[in-house]
Amino acid sequence: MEGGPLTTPEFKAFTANVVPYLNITTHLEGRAHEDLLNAVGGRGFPTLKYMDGDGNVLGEPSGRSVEAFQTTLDAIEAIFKLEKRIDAGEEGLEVDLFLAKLDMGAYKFEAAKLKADSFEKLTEAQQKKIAAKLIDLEVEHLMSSLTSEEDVPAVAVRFKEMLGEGKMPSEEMAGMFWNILMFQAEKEKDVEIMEQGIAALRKVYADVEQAQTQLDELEKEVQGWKTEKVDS
Amino acid sequence: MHALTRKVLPAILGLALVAPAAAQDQEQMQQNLEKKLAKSFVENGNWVLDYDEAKKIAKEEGKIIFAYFTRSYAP
Repeated sequence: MEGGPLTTPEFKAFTANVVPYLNITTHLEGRAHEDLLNAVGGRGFPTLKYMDGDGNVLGEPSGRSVEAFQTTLDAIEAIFKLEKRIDAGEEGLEVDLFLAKLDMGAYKFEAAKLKADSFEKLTEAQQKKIAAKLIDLEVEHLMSSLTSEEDVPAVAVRFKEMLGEGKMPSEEMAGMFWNILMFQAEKEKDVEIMEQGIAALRKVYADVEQAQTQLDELEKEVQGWKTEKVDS
Repeated sequence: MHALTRKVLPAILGLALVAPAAAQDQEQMQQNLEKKLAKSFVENGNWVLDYDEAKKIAKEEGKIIFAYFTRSYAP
């Protein structure tokens, strides 16, 4: 980041449209806003957030390029416009606003589920989009609950249920989803999950040669379990 | 644990944990901060370094804050 997009003339031009705020965690005692990263839900470095003048988080850039920063900024501004139209009394925009905010990552799982359930009338396309987003949000929610290896089995149980219900996360979340499932499946020598996971991860890591080699090795291991089963 | 999860799971778990503060010398921490602030990206970005000031400007100018969180205590 600091040697890339943030040093470009494009970024310098972009900063004219926002208030660029730099927060450095220093571990210096008594320094103001040292813990702001945690307060805004950041979980590592670097983190980027869009915020309003009251410090509310509006969203996160969809990528690490100036183009992505601008795309997200445009989407936030589109949300503001929708909100103004709703405030002015225009009807039938609530679902559009909800979907735009979902795209922005402005909702956590529980809040999104509650909001989605509150709509009486949704088109098929809206239902489909919301359902897909809720799956990703649930995966994200469960992943954020993981603090140690001991937490994995419970999360894996829910992921297995989701799999049974046909709730597959997007490609963006699929790596985490399958890694957790396979972490548990390996302990239980669950051939079916392992085979599904290997196939899914081959797509997720299609461009990562090292991952493909590891998946080859894993596939052989799973084949070995099958042979063991037949022999016994 | 197979090779993939051996690598991926700790990385996933690591996301949930912000590294704890190391008990390092405050003077060194100050030097690290100064070194960070001397980097070229800081000058390029016209960054506001004070959070309250950033919020004030955002309100006055009707703009959105683009917040970048980084650290100086470690590379």
